[in-house]
Amino acid sequence: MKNPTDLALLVGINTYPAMGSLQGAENDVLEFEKWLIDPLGGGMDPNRVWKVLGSQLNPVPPTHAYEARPWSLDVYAKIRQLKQNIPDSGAYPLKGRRLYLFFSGHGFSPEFNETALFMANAAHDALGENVPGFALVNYMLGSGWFEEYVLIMDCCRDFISTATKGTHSMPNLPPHPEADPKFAYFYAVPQANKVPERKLGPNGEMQGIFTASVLEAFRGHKTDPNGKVTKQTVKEYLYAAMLDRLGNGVSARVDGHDIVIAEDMTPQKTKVTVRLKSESTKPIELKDGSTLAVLDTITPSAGQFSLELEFGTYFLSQVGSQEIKPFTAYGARYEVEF
Amino acid sequence: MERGTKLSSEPTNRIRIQGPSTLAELFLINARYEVVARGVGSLEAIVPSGLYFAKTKVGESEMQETILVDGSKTEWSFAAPEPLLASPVPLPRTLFWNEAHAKFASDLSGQPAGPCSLVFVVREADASRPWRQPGIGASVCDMEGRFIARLHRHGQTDPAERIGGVNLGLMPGPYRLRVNSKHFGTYERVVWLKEGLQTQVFAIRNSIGFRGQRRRMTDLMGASVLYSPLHEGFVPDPDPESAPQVSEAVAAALFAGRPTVPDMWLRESQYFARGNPLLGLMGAYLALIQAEPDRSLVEHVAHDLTSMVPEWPDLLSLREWLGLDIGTSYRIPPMLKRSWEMILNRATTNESTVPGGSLLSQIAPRILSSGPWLTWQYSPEGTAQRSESGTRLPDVVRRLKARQPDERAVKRAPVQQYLEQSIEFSEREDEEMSLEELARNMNLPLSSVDGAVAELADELEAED
Repeated sequence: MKNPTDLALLVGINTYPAMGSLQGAENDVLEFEKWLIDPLGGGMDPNRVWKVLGSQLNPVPPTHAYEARPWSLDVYAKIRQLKQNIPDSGAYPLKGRRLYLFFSGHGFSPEFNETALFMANAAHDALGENVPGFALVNYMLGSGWFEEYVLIMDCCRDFISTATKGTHSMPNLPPHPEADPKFAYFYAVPQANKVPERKLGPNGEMQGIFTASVLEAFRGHKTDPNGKVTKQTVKEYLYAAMLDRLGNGVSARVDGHDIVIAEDMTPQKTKVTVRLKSESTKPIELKDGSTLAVLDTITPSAGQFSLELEFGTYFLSQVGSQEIKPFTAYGARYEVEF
Repeated sequence: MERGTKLSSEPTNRIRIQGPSTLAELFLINARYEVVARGVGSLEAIVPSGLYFAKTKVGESEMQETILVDGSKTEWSFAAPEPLLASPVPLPRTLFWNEAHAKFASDLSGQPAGPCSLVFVVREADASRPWRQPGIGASVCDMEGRFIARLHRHGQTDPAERIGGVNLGLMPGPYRLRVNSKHFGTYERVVWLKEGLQTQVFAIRNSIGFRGQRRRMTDLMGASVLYSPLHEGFVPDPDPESAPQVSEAVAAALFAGRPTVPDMWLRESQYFARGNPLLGLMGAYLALIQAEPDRSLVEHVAHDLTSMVPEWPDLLSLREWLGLDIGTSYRIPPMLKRSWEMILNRATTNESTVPGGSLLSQIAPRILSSGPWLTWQYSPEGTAQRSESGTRLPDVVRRLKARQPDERAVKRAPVQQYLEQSIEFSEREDEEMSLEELARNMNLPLSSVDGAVAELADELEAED
């Protein structure tokens, strides 16, 4: 096992009686869990992946917001469990190398760098029932519990002016003088934007487009020159993937320390299918967007052709023509019309 | 190979990108999606040939264009129209610009009133929406919460243009603006009036809430505040460097938490501070969130405003940031959320910073999280100053710790719920727990926690 001391808290909520329910949030958790315990991914001990799922906490599907779970105490109870049940390593209160916090459901953005996940019992008269992710990491950051914190939030970042940021009211943790933690956060969209779910799961299940994109990035669709997946490579990959998938000119928000997510990765390639709009058989050049170098010259013989490309921007042009068709290769499959 | 010959002949190109407005943040992104250059208003860079993305951002609205850098062209400008600021003030070159609204506000504000005046305008920005009664639910109150004027009763309206407002001659000092909505409850903010100046508040009706439960109400949380010389009134100046336009741009940048206005404008906000003290304060707060805060600008604003508006809490918190002794405590809420955050830093550990029984102490648990303005949920406040809660705390802790989890059934006010959770989550014994620790945990002023403990003690006794 690569990372036996890592710990993860995953929260997924599909059923919101007062807000309109989702279909993919709990799938997001299960797909992220697969990556966490994959020896080629997070390399974690499955027993250290803790889940808070609406479907597990509600024996009968709730019809009223006030009876729906999880509520914020369910999430904070896991932090208390972490505090009490995961032993410190000796005198230094280190509980592990890295803590992943992954939240999926409805959300909003109470402050420009904050994203809060609404709990299942949130409603107009209970908008304070939310867990702010940034504040939660901040609460633990100086304690020396973990060396690294990774916060991923797949939820809308609506601006709801009548909502208050949830308060955790847990006793403050004493700061540890030796703590030098690193923290990276990954939000689906900028403030005041929404993020949808689509049938992007492995078997066509509903999934948040952000989670699907994060997992592609974590699995090495973009690596640095040393084969590492880092916060920075994920940020660059998500910028392209979310811009294209959202299609409204906005993209993901990623910031923080340049934490190494995975190492020794071979860059995953994208199968790009080029569908030709005309029946011309003139040769087509594929150029690298970074260098403008010609990578390939293709003489089309049918209505389409395929390419295997690493993540990046390329363009197509017919030999002798000034017109270019730029595109970004990302994900497992990508289609271009030319 | 001769010495001095370049090993690599990577072509470089000097390029310039003009943004759609002076406020636009610009990013140049390469084909691997790495940001290679940044700028505000315009951007210059020397880059290798390649395909790039020029991205611009104004507030949270973004645009991106693809550009091919191959030596054949050196300048680009965004073809798309300038992203407009979503200001509630009827100003030209803003998203909700409406000439009739600007004229209404100008006419209303031009009418003489008192030693200083308060203009409060509510308008419907979406022409497709029904407008039943202009300004309904919006009012001006004194600091004790008593109504001075209700917009729909005491103000002027133009139902055809969907706008209403009031111009009140008042004495200098703080006043409470209140908006009531049957769906969302009641919200309040404070505005300060200054002798010789007119305070202008502009709110739009907006859709508030979430998913299928959105309702339109007067958006007090997003209402803008401008100041102008008393007899000048509201001037819808189209010049992007005029005081109202700069004020709105600075407020938007403060809201976004990003120093996205040109440095020159921050310096201008200093200049404008003499006629618009709030703009000076916002400029100073914006300077504080720069990567390297310009202390001299903050000092300049604080110095200029100390003789003008010495009692404004927003100024006092800025003076405290500068390390100056302000010689007083905070009883009245500031206008800006940033000021409140600075006050709170001290109030969680220092009881005298926000005295018990003060309005600020009472509203602290109900402050809304979104800024830049400090807005809170209204609740009729108690008048008694509580001070005995420290002695009752051990008893409250003992009672709560002795309960079974399923006994937590009684519905309480949010602040008491959080207090209850905080006590239950604590691993300390009753005699070890202190109000100071609770205040730090709950991120509230000591005096607010003091009041909440006293109320919770009363409720627990009543439950017995």
